Amino acid sequence: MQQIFHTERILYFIMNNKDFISALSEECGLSANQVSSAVESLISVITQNLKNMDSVAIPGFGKFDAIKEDEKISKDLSTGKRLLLPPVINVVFTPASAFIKIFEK
Amino acid sequence: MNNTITLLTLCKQLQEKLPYEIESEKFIASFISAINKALAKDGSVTINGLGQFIILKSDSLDDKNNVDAIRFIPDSELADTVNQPFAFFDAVELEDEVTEDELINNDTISSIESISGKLQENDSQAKVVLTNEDKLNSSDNNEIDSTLEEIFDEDIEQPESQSSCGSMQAADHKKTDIEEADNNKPFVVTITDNQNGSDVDNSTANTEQQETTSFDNPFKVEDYATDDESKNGNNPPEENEQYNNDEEKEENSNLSWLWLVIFFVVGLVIGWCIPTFISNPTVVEEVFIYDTIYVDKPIVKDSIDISSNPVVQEPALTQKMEVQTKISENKSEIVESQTDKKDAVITETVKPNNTLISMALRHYGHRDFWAYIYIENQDKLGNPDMIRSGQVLVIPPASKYGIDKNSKESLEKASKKCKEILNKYKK
Repeated sequence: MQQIFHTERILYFIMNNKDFISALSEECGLSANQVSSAVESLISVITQNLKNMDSVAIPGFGKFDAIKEDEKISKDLSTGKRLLLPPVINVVFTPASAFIKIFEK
Repeated sequence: MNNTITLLTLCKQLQEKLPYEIESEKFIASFISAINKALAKDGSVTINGLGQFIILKSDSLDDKNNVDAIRFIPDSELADTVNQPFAFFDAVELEDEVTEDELINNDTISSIESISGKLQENDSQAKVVLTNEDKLNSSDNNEIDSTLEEIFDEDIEQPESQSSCGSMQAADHKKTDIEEADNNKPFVVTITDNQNGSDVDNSTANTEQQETTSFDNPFKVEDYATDDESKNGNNPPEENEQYNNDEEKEENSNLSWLWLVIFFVVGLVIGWCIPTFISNPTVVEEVFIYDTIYVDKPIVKDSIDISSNPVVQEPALTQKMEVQTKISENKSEIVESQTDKKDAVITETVKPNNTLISMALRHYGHRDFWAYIYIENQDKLGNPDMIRSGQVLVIPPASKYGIDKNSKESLEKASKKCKEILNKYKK
């Protein structure tokens, strides 16, 4: 089942995880179980690095960063109330230029 | 911290977790290509535990500038684990008084410890986290030396792609330079403690620390410290409306206010005491003189006109008189000469603890003559023992009743009168 995801003005179908795993297993020639466990370990490695505030750079793909945003005051325009947003460490992915160019067609 | 993990490192890290039949490099490559294909096919991919990759097409009319963007939305689990230091902070509604100036990122000890704890768990690189508190607490530099020596002794991975220390310049730093150099040697991460000061303090602390070791650091230490600050970020403050720093500042300001108030009060007290001390002699005089109030001639006229009525004498006027009369009091002759026995009416206002006897003594020279004073004021007085302060008594001139302290007769007469009066009232 594909999920319908609406972003801004364009409707997209999102390939869900299962499909991705199956595609990946085709690519690798490994079983789905192996692939999914491998993906999990990959994610855990990336997560561990991000936790240490290290950025993970994969050439040809992109870079995962853990960027800390300082606290800031945001104003709710409707109520006029101000919120103090706490500092937050965000995970940011910047795709490599080579990666983007593939989709520029 | 703030390192860039290259593909090589990533592969090594991943290979540790994968079963040996799967090569990590190949797997990562196929992973990327799978994402590629998925995005090309559907425009978006969801990977459980990682997040969603979505292609956003820009809505520009010009085809040339049609640059797509790939948006990554991290999985909630991933975001939470990465955000763990700030996990418990919520957005707080601000009151109107709070301004942006008060947003100073401060440390909480717990957050420092949590971050330092996490870093110490990491075995792949040797890192030591020293907080400013540690530096302050360890008065000996020896302790710091020993810990740094431990770091130097350990074997450290040397990533191949990174340049050596020597090529680093002290002056111009970029983030990459520092990162590369950092990977060459164990660095000491100082988490700034804003409570104790600014960059200057941190840099001085760093210099102290670095100078004690034979640490070949080509960097300027100030830059190192400041960059650390900016990258490591200031540690999470308390997300209450009162921050630690603010609290301390408040405490400090409260203390200084307290001192101000104390000095002010002391000044007030001194200011109150001085005039009282200065004017004390006159006060003493007043106490002396209060017993007798002599009416001077100008006022006498008034008193004669309304002699039937008690004259309430203003203390202000009388004080002046008193000063003059005090001198004269010592010399009774002058007193007598001042007061005209016949024409002047002498009145006396009774003060507390005055007695008729004392008045008689003063005016006539003998105690027993109080009887005449009593007689003169009989209409006002009842019991001679009970004269009230504030009463104005007329002191008859001595000649009226033949008061003469020197004459035996008048003394006898007077004493008789005394007994008469007393008998009246004691019965």
